[in-house]
This record gives sequence, structure tokens and C-alpha cells, in this order.
Amino acid sequence: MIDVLVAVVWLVGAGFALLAAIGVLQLPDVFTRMQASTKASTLGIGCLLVGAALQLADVAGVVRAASIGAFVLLTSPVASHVIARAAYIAEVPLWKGTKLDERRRDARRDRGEFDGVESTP
Amino acid sequence: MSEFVTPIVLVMLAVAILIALVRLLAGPSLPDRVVAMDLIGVLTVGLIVVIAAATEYRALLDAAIVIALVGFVATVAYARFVEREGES
Amino acid sequence: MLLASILLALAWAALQGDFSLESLVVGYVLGYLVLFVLGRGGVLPARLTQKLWHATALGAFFVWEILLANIRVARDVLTPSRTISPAVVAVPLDITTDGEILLLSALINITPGSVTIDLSDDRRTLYVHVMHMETPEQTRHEIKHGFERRVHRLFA
Repeated sequence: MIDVLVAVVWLVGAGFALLAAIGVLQLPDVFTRMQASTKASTLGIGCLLVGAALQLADVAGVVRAASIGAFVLLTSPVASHVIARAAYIAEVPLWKGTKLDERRRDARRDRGEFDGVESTP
Repeated sequence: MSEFVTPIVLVMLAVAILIALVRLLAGPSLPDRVVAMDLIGVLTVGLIVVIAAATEYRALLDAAIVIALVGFVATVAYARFVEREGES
Repeated sequence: MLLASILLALAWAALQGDFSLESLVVGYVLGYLVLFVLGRGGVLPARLTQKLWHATALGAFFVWEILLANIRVARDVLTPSRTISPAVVAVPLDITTDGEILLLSALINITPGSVTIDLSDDRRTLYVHVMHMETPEQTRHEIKHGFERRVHRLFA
């Protein structure tokens, strides 16, 4: 019974990890690719860890699996924010199909208030 | 059941790493490569977790923790670098 | 306080790997003592039970959102013709403290389909890149009435 559950959870986790990789390959710009890669570090790793905890089923195994989970949950949002911010500041182009960029609009407005003085982007 | 499924899961994760490797080599921008490298780190952690559970070799989980740690620090360091140097 | 120390007792027993009466009692007494000392020192929030409740509600909502977002992004990746409509949206914030903003942006980042790009210098606007945008107002509404409201309630 536990065996079947482990198998299902692992297949789901690996499936999401694979989808994340495909997304990173085929989505159009760095920001959308990042969205896909988040999938691997949430449901992907999450399912694999739950499966591993069920399979090991003892304190040492479960505690380590839980601490990996907690660690990934704490670090992955920080990592994706710093990459996104760095990419935006380095002016990596957004996909041409991007509908709206309100940060650019606000930056222009703020520069306008300072009347021609060029602020750092 | 899990003897049967484990190889399939490992192959799926390995294929995912290969696909991410294509993005790492293709770029085009540095942040794209950082995203791909970050993903490869996460996928490696998953791979090790599965191997550790399937072989009941718990010390491998510590290796997974270390890879997650190093991967995070590397990603943040690269992001700082991109922010300073601009896209190239 | 009672509920919290029972939880601590269970955690203690789980970490000891032994759910005997003995370890539960030891865990309960230790938990109660720690909570008592922390409460005296003024470290604990005043309404602990209520906080626990809000935290659980936020956690459940978060897991639900993660599941939805994963399925949505999976569909985007699989459909060959592009159905995505990404955008960078400015979200005006009602929350002000560092802790609230940190928690909100962590939640936004960990959900597939949205990434925080930047926080404005006056800390009142959060710029979020989303995978799907119908109208900017709708995206703002989703974030403000989804995560932000719950985060605010937890810290209030």
C-alpha cells in the first residue's frame, strides 16, 4: 500500500520536474522561464521528499527529508527574486508579447518629476 | 512496486537535467543560464533524495542538503554579479 | 497555551521517536515551562491561539494556490500554441513592516506563475511579473485579496 503511494507520488514529482525543465527550454523570456523552474522546487521536490519520507519511514529519514523541504521552501523564493531583479536591472529584454510593464512606466514618471535629471535605472 | 518505478523516476529526472543543460548552453543571456543552473541544482537534489530513499542509504540526504545550500549561495552570488556587470 | 504545549509535547515525542506516556509527559512539562518563560519575557504574541489559527488558514490557502498554479503553469508549458500573456504589474501595498513584506513576497515567489521584480524605494509598491494578466486591476485584486489580506491578518 505504502509502496503504491510512494510510486505515485514520485511519478507526479518527477513529472512536474520534467515539465519545469521543458518550460525552461521553450518559454520565451527569462522571467517566464523562471516561473516554470519554480514548479520543480515546489511540487517537484515536495512530492519527491514526501515519497522519500514514506519510503524511509523512520525518524532520521523523515527529519532529514523535512529539513531539506524547509530549506528549499526558505531559499527558493529568495533565489528567484534576486535573479528576477538582477535580470530586470541588467535590462534583459522582456518577451515582445508582454502586455504591460508598469515598472518602466513608473520609472519614467519618477524621472519626469525630477525634470530631466537622469536617475540611475 | 518501487523497484519497478525508481528507474523510471530516475530517468525522468535525468532527462529533465539534460533539457536544463540545453538551456544552460544556449543562454542567450546570463540570467537565463543562472536560471538553468539553479534548476539543475534543484533537480540534482531531487535525484539524490530518490536514490537515498530507494537504497535506504540515509547519509546521501546530507549530501542533498549540502548541494541545496551551495546551489542557493551560487545563485545569489551570480545574481549579484549580473546586477553589477549588466547583461553580457 | 494549553493547545500549544500539547503540540510541543507531540513534537518532542516525534523527535524522540517514542510515543510512550513518559516522553509525552516530559515533552508537555518542558513545553509548558518554555512557553511560560517566553510569555513572562514578553516574547510570545498575546493571542497565541488566534495567531496559530490565522497561520493555519494562510498555510492551507497557500497549499491550495500552489496546486492551482502548478497545474496552470503545466498547461502553459504543454500547449504548443502560446496562451500566456505575461506582464509586470505594480501592486500598491497596504502592509508596511519588513516582516509582512518579506512574507508576502516569499509567498508570491514560491507560487509558480508570479515573481517579484522589485520593491519601490518608498516601499509602497511591489512590482510583480505574472504569467497571466487579463487586466492589471484583476491581478492587483487577486494578490491583495489573496495573500496580502491573510498576511496582514496574521501580523495584525
